Formats: sequence, structure tokens, C-alpha cells
Amino acid sequence: MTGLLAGIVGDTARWLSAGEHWHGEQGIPNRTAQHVLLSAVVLLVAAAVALPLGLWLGHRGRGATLVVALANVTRAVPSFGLIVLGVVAFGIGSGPVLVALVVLAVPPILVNASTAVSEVDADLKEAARGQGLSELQLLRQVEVPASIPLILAGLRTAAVLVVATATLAAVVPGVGGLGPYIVDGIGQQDRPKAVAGAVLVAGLAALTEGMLAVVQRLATPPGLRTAVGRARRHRSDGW
Amino acid sequence: MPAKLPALLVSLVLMAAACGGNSDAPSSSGLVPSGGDKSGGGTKVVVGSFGFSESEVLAQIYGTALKHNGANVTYRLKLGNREVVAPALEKGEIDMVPEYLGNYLAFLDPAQTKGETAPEALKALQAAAAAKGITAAEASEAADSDVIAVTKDFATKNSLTKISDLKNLPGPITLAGPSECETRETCLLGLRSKYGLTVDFTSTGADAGGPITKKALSDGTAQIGRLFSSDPDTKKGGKFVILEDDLVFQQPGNIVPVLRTPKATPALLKVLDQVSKALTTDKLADLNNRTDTNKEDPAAVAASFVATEKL
Amino acid sequence: MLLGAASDGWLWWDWVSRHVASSPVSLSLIDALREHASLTVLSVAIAQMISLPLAVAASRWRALENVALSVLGVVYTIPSLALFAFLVPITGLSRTSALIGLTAYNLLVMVRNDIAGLASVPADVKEAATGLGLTTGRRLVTIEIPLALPAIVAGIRVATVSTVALVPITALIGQGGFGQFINAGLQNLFKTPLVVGIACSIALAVLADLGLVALERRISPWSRARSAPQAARAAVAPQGGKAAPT
Repeated sequence: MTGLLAGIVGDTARWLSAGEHWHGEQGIPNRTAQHVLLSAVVLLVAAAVALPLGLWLGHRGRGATLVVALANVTRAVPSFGLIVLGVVAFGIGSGPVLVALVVLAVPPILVNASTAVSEVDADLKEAARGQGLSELQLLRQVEVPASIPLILAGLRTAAVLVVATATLAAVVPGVGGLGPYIVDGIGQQDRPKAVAGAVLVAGLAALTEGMLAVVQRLATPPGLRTAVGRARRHRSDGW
Repeated sequence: MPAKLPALLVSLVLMAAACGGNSDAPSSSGLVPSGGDKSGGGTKVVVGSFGFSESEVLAQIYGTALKHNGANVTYRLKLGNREVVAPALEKGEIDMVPEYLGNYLAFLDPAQTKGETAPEALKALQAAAAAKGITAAEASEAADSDVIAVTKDFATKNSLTKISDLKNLPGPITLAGPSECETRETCLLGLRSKYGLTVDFTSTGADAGGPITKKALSDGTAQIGRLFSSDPDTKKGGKFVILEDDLVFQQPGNIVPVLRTPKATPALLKVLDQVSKALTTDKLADLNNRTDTNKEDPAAVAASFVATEKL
Repeated sequence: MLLGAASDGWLWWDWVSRHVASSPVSLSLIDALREHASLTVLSVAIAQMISLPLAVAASRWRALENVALSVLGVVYTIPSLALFAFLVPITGLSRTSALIGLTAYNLLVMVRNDIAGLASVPADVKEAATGLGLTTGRRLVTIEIPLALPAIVAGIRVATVSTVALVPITALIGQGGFGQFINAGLQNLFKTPLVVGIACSIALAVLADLGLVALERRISPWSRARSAPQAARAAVAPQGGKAAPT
């Protein structure tokens, strides 16, 4: 068994260090760039849709039940099915895949943003209103800053989700990214390629998670980094 | 109450394990191996197939004919491409599969010279297969070869009739094909080495000459695609035009049932030959039309063919 | 018997009715259900059987808790297709590979929940139990675990729903459950099996969740009823659970 493992590790390392795998359209740099670009665009679009909506919902205190339902239902949706649905409905290529991925990325951002804002201390909101702040000012100056950790947690969850699911898009021609290394590797019985692809995509996911965790920590206002804030953040981590 | 929980848990697990699917042996995509015709009590034959519908149909045609002649047939269909099926056959996980002459020969013996006639290729295949403990039966006149095809518009616009014509194209060309196409001399590699073309590759995953490849062609993601000659869409008047293989990098694609030698009794071989004789390229195209265009079930299509041909 | 436009529809009932019964050669909803359910039940059960002892040990040694959660957290970040790609060279295109991957993804949620559940047992209750002469083992089984049940079951719920949604991906390594219908939809650009596969997968997840809620109510009738905001917060972060595995 250890011999087998050592063999796989060795073959994969060799594949990853082979010069030819770093050039050209099928090369690691290009494929990684495709994967990152697709994920970034999806995240931007999803955030553009989900953040305003989530912040507004949380601000109005509406839709708590809707949010609960959304959180539960979207966990039950098979991501593989969603990607194929996009393809069958709209054709192959990056466009349909993008749409499917955005649909997947919206719920964590939306749910976290809405919950975060609605959880801001009621007394704090009262005091702010009492001081004469308009609704918009309330949102911008009080609610959002207080919600940043949870909002960022939602973005972080969505980002990792998108990077991971973009791998599945390998079943669609014309999309690229790191997924085809795995899918083609399995199809060609090319074990080193498949495992190398898996290493690359796992690495990218871990990097995304790690980087955004740092951003989340840095962007958390110092006041929320107290023990209370830490407890609240830990409890609400993830969606 | 709490004491009951472990018992509940254990019984749940046992139930799940009991009514679960296949064991850990590599399974065909969840298709439960049946017991076959137990009353026959004859030789056990496990029939496998490739991932595309034509192979599913052929496997069931051969399998049903074998069953009618007393064999105890079970199926492991849609195993994947040759890179998965051929090792499965050699290891004895399956006993029989309807193969394709040229491609199987190229797989077993890449050094084979190209451009042989079907009878010559069959001889070479029988020799190469025998070395692996596999008997290649008689080849059918029905053939399905890998072909390089383009959309009708693309062919007309660029005056393309044969693969060599692609050299005259100004821009870069992309080939759409399944994963295995990237590493085969009978596919991407051959286009580069034999034809000297500069070709990029976009993988269609497990789609072998199917709707995804065709969509990639029709929406311009790829300019050339790896399709099959028995596909109704490549016939005259179809949506796609086959480019002639003028430098002959593909061998004849006649259907050849191959059987593991220990199971290759004269009686079974005779049944296989009967089926092979009943198949023609036109009939094959018709079978494909029923599964791909009409979305009929491969099992039903195979059953009606066996009934019509009285196999 | 030409079928024309119907074959292109989103729900071609004739096709569906032909693919319900169990079959050795065709897609079958019954076979798919069996495979999907058994992959789910087995991976959740195995994960729970690993998780609870691990959580008990981790509640005794903080260091173990940190290590376990870190390692499982890393595993959780690995995209599912990548994890299965790691497993295939070792355990083949087999049910075993699928089970190992699915179980691994369940561990983080369950261990987190189980630890949180055990930690929520009030210290004075534990002391009282010890004072009454219960050994650590008996106290664990008769007091701590029952009181931790809401959290444990919440973990099972999240894991079950996530697993049902993840099983279809195993179609790419030869398994799949309802994912085989989704895969058939992909390979033939065929709408009906796709819709049926997705719908059945979601239905199974919802039914499993409801079933577990009912089970939870029967096992721990002492769990207090929750208010709506509490339910909302719980839905966002069920006892510290994270997002679905990807």
C-alpha cells in the first residue's frame, strides 16, 4: 500500500515538474488563469446581485423565513445537476456555466448578508435613528460595518464553492480551467495527470479560503475582535 | 431510550449495506448485473460495452443472441472508453465486447502499419489479441469508423473535402473530441503527426461523437470534431460533412466481437458470426437513428433487431 | 411509433414511466434510489461512528480538538471531484472510493456538532452525575450523549442533506444514484432524465431532512421549541455547521 502511494506521489510530482505541462493553452498557467478568471467573474456578479438584496432584506427585517428556506433548500440542490441544467438549457461554453455558478454562489452571500444586518443590536439601531440618521445612513454607517465579518464569511464560503464547482464544469467543452486535467486524466487512464489536476485545484481552493480568511480578519473592525465578537463570529461562521 | 440508539444506528447501517448497490468491484454506472437466463445453465458470459449508445445496442444484440443459444449472459454496460474496457476484458471482468477492428488493432499494436484492408487488419488483430488471451471472431461488414467532420457551412465556406485541405485554413483549428482523443494516434496525435496540422484540442469529456461534440461544432467552439461514420447526421443531407481520410490514419472500423479465449467455444463463435452477418452499415445507422434521434432505449432497439433478424 | 416533439420536452412522461422499474441494462429510478440512499446512509452512518468517539476524545484533550478540526477543515476545502481523483488510483472506479469521499466530507460537520453538543452539557449536571456515583463511561452514555443529542442530530441532518446533493458527482466515477440520470441528461443533451435526476435528488434530500426532524423530536422530546429568529440563526449556522461540501 505504501509502495502504491509512494508511486502515485512520485508520478504526480514528476508530472507537475515536467516543463511541457507549463506551456501553451493546455498548460498549467493558462488553465489556472482560466479557472481564476471564471471564479472571479462569477463571484463579482453573484455579489453584485446578492449583497444589495441581502443588505436590504436584513435592514428591513423582512424575509427571515425566506432566508431560512433558502439556506435549507440550496443545500439540497446537487451542483452537478445545476451545471448540466445550464448546459442543456443554454448550450455549451462559459456563458451557461457562468449562469449556473452564479445561481450557486448567490445563496451563501445573500443569507449571510441578510442575517448579519438583521442581527445588529436593536438598541444600537434605535440610538442611531434617535440621533437623526436616515435609513440609508443607518445602513451604511452602522449596520454594514457591524456586519462585515459575517458578510465576508459568506463571500469566503461562496468563493470556495465557486472554485470547487468550476472544476465540475470540465464536463463542458470550451470552458477550460483546471477541471479537465481531472476529467481527461480519468478518461485517458492517465493517473498522474488526474492526481496532479486534483492537487492543483485543491491547492487553489485552499489558497482562496486562506486568503479570504486573512481578509476577513483584517477587515473586522477592532471592536468586534473582542471575546464577544469572536464568539459571535465563530458561531456564525459559515452559513 | 439512549440504549436503543446504538441498536438503531447499527440496524440502519446493516439495512443500507444489505440493500445497497454493487460491491466494490469496479461497477458499470450503477447498472445492477442481472442473473441472466438461469434456466440456460450454459457458459457464463459477461458482456460489456463502451459508453456510447451504439455499443450498448450491439452488446445487447450479441448478448441476447448468445442467451437464446443457451449461454448464461449478464451485462456490464457503459463501462467507458477503450482505455477502461480493454483492461477489463484482459482481466476477465468482462468476457465479451463488440469491438471495432481498426481502433482495437491500433490500441493493441500501435506499431501496426496503416492502410491495410479489412481482411489483413483482421488477421493482424487476431494475432495481437491472441497474445492477450482474447479471440477475435469474424468481422462484420457493418463498419463504424472514427471520422473527422465539420459543419456543412464550414465545409462549403472553406472548400473542404479531405483532411489535408485543413492545411490551407488561415486561422488555428480546434478539434472537439472525448478525453481519450487527446492521447490517441487515431485522433489528435495522428492529425498532428501524420497530417502535420496545428490542432488545438477541446475535450468533450465522455461524449464520444455525441450531441456535445456536435454542439461544439455547430456553435463554433471547435472547427473539427471526432464523430462516427455510422451517425445519421454524417450521412448525405445530414448536418455534418465527413472529411476524407486521404492519408489514411484510420483503419477500417468493422465491428468485431471479441471474446476471452477460454469462453470462445465453437458454438458461441458460431452465434457471434451469425449476428455479425446480420449487421450491415445501413442497419447500424438505422439503429443509431432510433436511439439518438428518437431517444428509444438501447435495450428495446436491440430486442426488436434480434426479433426481426431471428437471431 | 415516432415520438417527435415529446422526446425533446422537459418531462417526457412516457420515458419516465419506462425507466422506473429495476433493470440490469437500462436506467432505473428504483435502482438509482437504492444506490443513492445506500451511499448516503452508509457514509453518514460511518462518519457518525467515527465522529462521536473522536468528539468524546476531543472534549477531553483540547489539542486533539484543534488538530482534528484543522485536518478535517482542510479535507473539507478539497473540491469533491479532486478528492475522488485522489481516491481512484488507490481504490479504483468503485463504490468504495465514493463512500470514502462522501464519509470524509461528513466528518467536519459532525465532529464540530458533536463537540459543540458535548460541550453544551452543563458542568453542574456532570458533577451531579459523578456525585451520584456514575462512572465516566455510564455518565457519558446515560447523561452527556442524550443531552447532546439535539446538536448531534443537527449534524446528521446537515450531513445527510449535503451528502444527497453530493452523491450525483460520483456518477463521474461510475456510481451516482440519481446522478446517473443527470449524467444521461448531459451525455445526450436530453432534458427529461436531467430534470428527473435533479428533482429526485432534491426530493430525497427534503424527505430525509423531514424524516430526521421527526426522529429528533421522538428521541429528544425535551428540546425546547424555538422562536422564529432563533430558527433563522440556526438555519444560517446550525450549531456551528459550515456550508455544504463542494
